[in-house]
Amino acid sequence: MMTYGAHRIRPSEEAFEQLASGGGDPHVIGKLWTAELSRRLVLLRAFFDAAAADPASAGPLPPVEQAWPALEAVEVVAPETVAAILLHPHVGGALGYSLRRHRGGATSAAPSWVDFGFVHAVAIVASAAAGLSYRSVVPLRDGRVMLPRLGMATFDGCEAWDTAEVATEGGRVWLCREGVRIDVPPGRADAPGWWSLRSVTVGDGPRLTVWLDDLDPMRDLADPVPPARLSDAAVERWTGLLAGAWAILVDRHRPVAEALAVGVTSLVPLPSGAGRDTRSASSGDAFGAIMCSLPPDAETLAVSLAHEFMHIKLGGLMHLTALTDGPGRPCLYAPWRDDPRPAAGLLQGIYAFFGIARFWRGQRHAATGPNRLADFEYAYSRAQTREALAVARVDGALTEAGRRFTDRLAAEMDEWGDDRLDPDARRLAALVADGHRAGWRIRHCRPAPAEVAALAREWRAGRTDAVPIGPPEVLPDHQMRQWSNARLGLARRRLAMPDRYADVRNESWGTGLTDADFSLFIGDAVAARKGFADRLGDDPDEADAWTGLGLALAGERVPGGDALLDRPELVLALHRELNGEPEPAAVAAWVERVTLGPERRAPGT
Amino acid sequence: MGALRGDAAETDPPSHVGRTLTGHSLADLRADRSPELTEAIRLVLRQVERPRVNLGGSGPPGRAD
Repeated sequence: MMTYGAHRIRPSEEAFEQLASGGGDPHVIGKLWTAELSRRLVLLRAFFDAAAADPASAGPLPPVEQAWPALEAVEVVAPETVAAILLHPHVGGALGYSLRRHRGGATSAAPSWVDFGFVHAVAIVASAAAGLSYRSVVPLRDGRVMLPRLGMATFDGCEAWDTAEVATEGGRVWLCREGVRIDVPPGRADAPGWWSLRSVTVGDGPRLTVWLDDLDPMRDLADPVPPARLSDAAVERWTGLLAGAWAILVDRHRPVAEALAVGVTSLVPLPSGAGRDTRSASSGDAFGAIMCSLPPDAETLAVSLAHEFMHIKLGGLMHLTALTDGPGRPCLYAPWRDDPRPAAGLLQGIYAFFGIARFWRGQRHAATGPNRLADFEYAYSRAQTREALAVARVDGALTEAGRRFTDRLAAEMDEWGDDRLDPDARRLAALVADGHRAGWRIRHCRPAPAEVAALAREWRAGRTDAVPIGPPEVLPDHQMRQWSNARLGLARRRLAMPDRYADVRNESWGTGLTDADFSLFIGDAVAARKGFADRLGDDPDEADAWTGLGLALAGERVPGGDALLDRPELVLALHRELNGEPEPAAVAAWVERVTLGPERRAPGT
Repeated sequence: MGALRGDAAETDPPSHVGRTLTGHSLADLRADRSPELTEAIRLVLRQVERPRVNLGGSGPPGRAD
């Protein structure tokens, strides 16, 4: 429970209810900001305490504690100014990183005064905004220093870790080093040695204004990073995409847009990834910031904003209220991840995928004609969220508040049950979801060796009596972190561009697909079964062939499919125990017949 | 002159935030030796020691939480 202020801060019942139902109106988001300010103040005090305890915290800079009276002076005349700068997302990132490093949770070649010294830049910016005079010295990383909310100064010819004098008077700011002076220009202009932090405004009621932050060293998720200045053309591209995304959100998801306009203040462009991938990210330290690589279109940016904003909201709530008992061990099935997840991570994913499912649900309703891809995205993300909710409610180490939270979220989803979906989109979504679950199990779950041996004895004896089997042990295979993209991409291609279905093999993510996969996704289960069986003849350990065989058998509604989708790790282990001699489909059908017990799906479902 | 003064960007959080710094001044915070603050510091340090990071993606090959 947090933290500093006149009262201990707890979310009101109304705020909790709104957030637990996946929403949160602008007033509730404002409350999260207020709570975040309280948290930042506590972090600030912890930061100063840590600096006082570190004899190297000042180095060539003034003592860190000198910044505090400067901030106090600003607070007297302009408390909003202090709040605004403390709440700047990447000031939160810098406070978190500095404290983490001080406590041994991060490593860096930089001397500690480079981290602690950022507070002098905070004091300068606050003083300038309040019109107060102040002078200090700031640390330079490779000749650069970020003045939060203003921009970045760069000096040439510096050591890796260096310093510059900085001063403000009458609202103007300038920096000096070895006779070189950089004046921060008025407005949002660049100047020699100076890059201004740009902001972008889109829409008109509600309107979204964000920093387009390509500068701040703390804008990434972990360690400080160098600037990646966008060209004017790139800024124009981002502005256009953001305007388009915002129009989608305002027109079709207005409550999300109204809350997001209050809750998001920084958009950090990420380097573009390969292929069609659009990456996005957010962190608990930088409440209010979203990172995103350049998306291919406005709709992709809109869903990325909706997705990351869910993380931001839940992060704010989890700063105030524990929803899980600790982070937990990474042993849970999260349908959007290829590796096992801990309880806290699973809950974050559930909330985000609820937001994604709701987004696609809205897109479907807004469409003027059939939109099979939106139907697929909705069906798939809804199925993922529901399944993960079931996992969390059984194995997710939920606190009482966490249980109320997930119950409320599940109830919200119950209202979506009657949505009509394109049959092909629904079929493909189920295919991808079932295949992913089976693929996760065959890679990360290990049945008890004694049970496998018992099954082998029964098989060899030709018996078909029921054999009780317990749940498997989840042993994360860290070599298996990304393996599921190809079938997901194949399903999307089938719906979005059926005329280019076969071209998927030419995509970087589709090279591992087989003829059997192509048969499976066009609905030819017989050809798929034969193809996957042939592949297992060549390589009886090929995980995707086992799960493909399971999907094909299930598609044909013949025995073996359920066992391969529900307990593929058991079928594979038995097949190995039998030296790979029996037909895989025969082993699967036999396992399906003899296995008993409540454990029929992924752990906890 | 004074170009940066009052440069209240619209990227600011809601305007009611910070008017009273949640009821305490920075001077109060600097002088505070209360067990409540000690407990609050312990809590936020635990949070920053285990930073929450969310990685997302859309379209192949993206997939994450």
